[in-house]
Amino acid sequence: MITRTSYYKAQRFWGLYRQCIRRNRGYFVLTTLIGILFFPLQFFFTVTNPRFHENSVWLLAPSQLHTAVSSIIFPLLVMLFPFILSLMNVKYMHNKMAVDTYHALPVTREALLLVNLSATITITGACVVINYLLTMLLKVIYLPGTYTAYAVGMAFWEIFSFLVVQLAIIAIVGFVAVCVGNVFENFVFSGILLVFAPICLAMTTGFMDSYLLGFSTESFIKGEDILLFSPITMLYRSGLFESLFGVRPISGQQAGVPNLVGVLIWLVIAAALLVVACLIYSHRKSEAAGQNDTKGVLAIAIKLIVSFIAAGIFGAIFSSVYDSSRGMFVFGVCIGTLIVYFIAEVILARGFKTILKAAPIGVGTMMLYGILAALLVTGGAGYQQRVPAVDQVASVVINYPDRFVHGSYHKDNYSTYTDQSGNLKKNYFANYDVELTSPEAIEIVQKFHQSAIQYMEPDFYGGTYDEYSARSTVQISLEYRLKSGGKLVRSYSSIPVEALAALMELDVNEEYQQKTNPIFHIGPEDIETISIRNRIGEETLLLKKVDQAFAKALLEALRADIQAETLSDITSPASPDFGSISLTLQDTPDDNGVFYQQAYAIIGSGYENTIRVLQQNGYSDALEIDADQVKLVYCEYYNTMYGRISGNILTMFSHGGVSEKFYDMPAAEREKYYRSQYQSEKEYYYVVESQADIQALLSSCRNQMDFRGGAILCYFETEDDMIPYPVLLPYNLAPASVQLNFKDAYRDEMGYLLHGQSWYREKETVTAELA
Amino acid sequence: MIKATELTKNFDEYIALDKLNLQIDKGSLYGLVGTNGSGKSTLLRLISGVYYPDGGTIEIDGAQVFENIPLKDRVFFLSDDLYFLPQCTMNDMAAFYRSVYSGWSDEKFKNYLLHLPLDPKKRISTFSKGMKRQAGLLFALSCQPDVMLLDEAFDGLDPVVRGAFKKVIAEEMADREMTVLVSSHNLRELEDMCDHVGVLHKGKVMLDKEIDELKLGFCKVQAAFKPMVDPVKLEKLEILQMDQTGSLLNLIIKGNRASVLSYLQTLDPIFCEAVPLTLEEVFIHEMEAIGYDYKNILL
Repeated sequence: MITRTSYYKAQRFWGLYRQCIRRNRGYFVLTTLIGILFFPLQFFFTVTNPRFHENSVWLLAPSQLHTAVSSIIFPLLVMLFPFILSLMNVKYMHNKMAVDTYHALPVTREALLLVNLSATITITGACVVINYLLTMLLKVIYLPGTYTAYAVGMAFWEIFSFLVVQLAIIAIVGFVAVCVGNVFENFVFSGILLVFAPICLAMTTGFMDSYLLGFSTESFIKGEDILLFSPITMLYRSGLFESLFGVRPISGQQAGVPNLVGVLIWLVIAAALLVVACLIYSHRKSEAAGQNDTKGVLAIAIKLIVSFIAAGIFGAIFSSVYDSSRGMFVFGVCIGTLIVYFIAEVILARGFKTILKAAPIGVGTMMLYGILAALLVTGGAGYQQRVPAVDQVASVVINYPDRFVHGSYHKDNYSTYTDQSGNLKKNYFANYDVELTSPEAIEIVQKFHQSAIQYMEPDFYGGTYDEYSARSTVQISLEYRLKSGGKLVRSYSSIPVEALAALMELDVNEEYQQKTNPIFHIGPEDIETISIRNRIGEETLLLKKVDQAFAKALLEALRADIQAETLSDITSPASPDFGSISLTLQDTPDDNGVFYQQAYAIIGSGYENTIRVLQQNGYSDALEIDADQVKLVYCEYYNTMYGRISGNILTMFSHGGVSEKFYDMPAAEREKYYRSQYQSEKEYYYVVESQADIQALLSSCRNQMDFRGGAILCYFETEDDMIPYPVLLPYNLAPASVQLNFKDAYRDEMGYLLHGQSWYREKETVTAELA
Repeated sequence: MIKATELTKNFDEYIALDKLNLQIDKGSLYGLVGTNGSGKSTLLRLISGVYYPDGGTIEIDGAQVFENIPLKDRVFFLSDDLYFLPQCTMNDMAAFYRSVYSGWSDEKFKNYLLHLPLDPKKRISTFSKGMKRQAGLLFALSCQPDVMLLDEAFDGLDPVVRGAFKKVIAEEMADREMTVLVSSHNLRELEDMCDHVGVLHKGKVMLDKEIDELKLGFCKVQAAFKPMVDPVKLEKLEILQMDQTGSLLNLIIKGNRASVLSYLQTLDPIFCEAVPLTLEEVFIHEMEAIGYDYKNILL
């Protein structure tokens, strides 16, 4: 029932709303014109540019409406306009004279606030809508026939995202407005609240990343998810402009599609903030208008926030000036907190009168941040050292890929991209996480964990390493799921080679093999092609039509041989391997949505079952080599100093083949190419042409090995110009001429592995040790 | 009826209103006087619902004012510091008030405009101080409130316009039983329009009386004696103030005018007559009577 009171309530609301819209019509015209200048007009300039039709200028964003200029400027304007207008429309509550007029009106304060904020979103939202519609119209006119339903849908989705961002900005300004007494504080506090969360979060996780061994931001929060903590950065997180800002889409989301969750979260936050603002406003004292606030909850929160940010900046500066000193980091944090807290106090109080009263909180804040910083740089109160006992662990998830880097894929874990023809393409993300539950596997992981701490903690100094020893490029994340129900998550990168060695055991652990190696998961029907290479890396057989019976037998044989393998069979094979098998697989997900794309196996000397199946099916010839066919061998020293270590076990698949282009080059060019492609120093490569040495290489080469004894990559070039995979030559098995050539490289490598970067100081010792 | 009971308002440490009690009858024109900082504007803001009391209650017709929308629809508060929407004209402001006050009368607005030198299409920000005051009063009257609260509303108005507004207010009061509360620090301004006066000092009502009642209790007499009358004979009168210039005596005496004149006639004056008392003179003596030095409170 519409009562007289409710009728007047609604009438007053809409009456004031219309008034507010009328009052701001100049702002609307101005902002819309500015928007047109930086969006539809930019679109027009772009599509009428001859280069656009030569495909050298592209349209951006999912809607395919944005240009390089508009995709940067327009979002900024879209965020700036509501910020300014909402400040203007709520400033009445910060003006004593205006408050006398507004608060005496027969309108509730909630209604007053909502009227002004509604008018703001109407005006700024209309600016967005008009600009989009104009640009869409231009697209219809100038690019007829190119408009897909997807792009139209995305245009409306972008509009919706922009409106939510604007609403969130307006809600924050409205919330701050009812908490403070003047426009300056509203401006500053709103600005800080709009951006503080991602800054503080990124800063905190960044410092934890730097100072806490084992902590990884990625294991705590995804880097791009930090952007969700502000409506401003959320806009970029949403994927609207990822083509320019390089924001990675969330798993399962289409690339370039705004993040629904992020947008909806901010819609809810904005609504909640408006409700809270209305509640606060209904009890707000009118006399607060024009007052400075240094003691209010929001003012104190702002002082804590700015001093926190300053603490981080000062800590980083002091620390970097004094060689990443942890003590100086803490000192910088204390100094930064104190200085900025009191500067904020003076600014908010417009003078020094309150500084003494503020001193206890300022000093308390400094002590709090100082203690937190001290805890951080001293190992996080035992955080770094904690390794759970095996019997406490129910399972452990580790992202360690096996030596073939077998990854699994999930049907929902992909991003999409639009190619030049406007077709959507899928790009699946590989998963290397494996959950291990057997005590044996957990123990291997736990030993690695202890080893990582043992090797890394002494050198871990302000996030860097004092004496940079030989480290891998591998990042290992561990998640222990404890029997008590808790979790312990750690992540290590730049892991020393010696620490990483502990994980080699996983390659021959039954549970790990069965969970990571596709050969244990696929059936014969999943196999698309089978490629067999001999031990010098030549592809000698490629089966595109696979006999199911053969495939079944091959898989069973491989499973049996893989399970029978020992660690030494992999790391230091006593005799040359027979060759390798690679399988390309169909993208058919299993019941859990998981599928694989490739599977590899090296047919070691102990792979009797596999050899038998190949012989039975007449494919054993594929493993043979014709020594006479080999013209020469390019040898390259496997130098870890160039940051190549992705695991301790090298396989012939670790480096891929040489490009076809290489073999098309004249011989004279090859050396130049080789030098530029691989190493600059001649001592790191060598061409073997003597038949005696080639024969020696043929019998010494392996398809897999632990590189720590010194490894040489060999590219066998044959008469038929087949493109080989590089195979591996253990330094100690190399012919004398090859060893001689790589003598210095070997010394450097061993020095580096044994003594890290300080090996130059130990040069004589290393030379003596090797001698 | 406006009723304040134990009304208290603090601004941090400062007590603006201190357990103030006040009652203003419907249809009366109440003058509120007091020095700067005595609490006049604070009281008006509390009555209009701009402020929320820290203690006590403020009611209009038995209902609390703060956030009481139906009640506030009947109240108009014209602040001492006038505020108009930025860059707006009289017509814009009229539209603004029209949208919120159910009692708004376009007819009255146009009618008042005819008699005032205000251009409704011109920006109010270009008006002089006096013209802005006129505009404020015009909007207040056009809203036809039952309770009109005017804070120093006549400051800056020329006597002609002031007289005109007083006349209009009197008519509105007569027609609609409108209650008007006018604050001022100038007693003379209120003297000829208020029927009731209250004096605020340090957040409290020092005096609250009808003007007629106030004036009836005092009489001012000019009398000439030759020779001068024996002062002892005057002791029978309750003289509050006596000035002598030659043979002329100016007396302010507490008591009934007729009986005072009658007594003075017995003392054989050359002439003796009663003269009108100003409100200020009444206040001086009334306040002194209750133990306050008037000069410290007013003017």
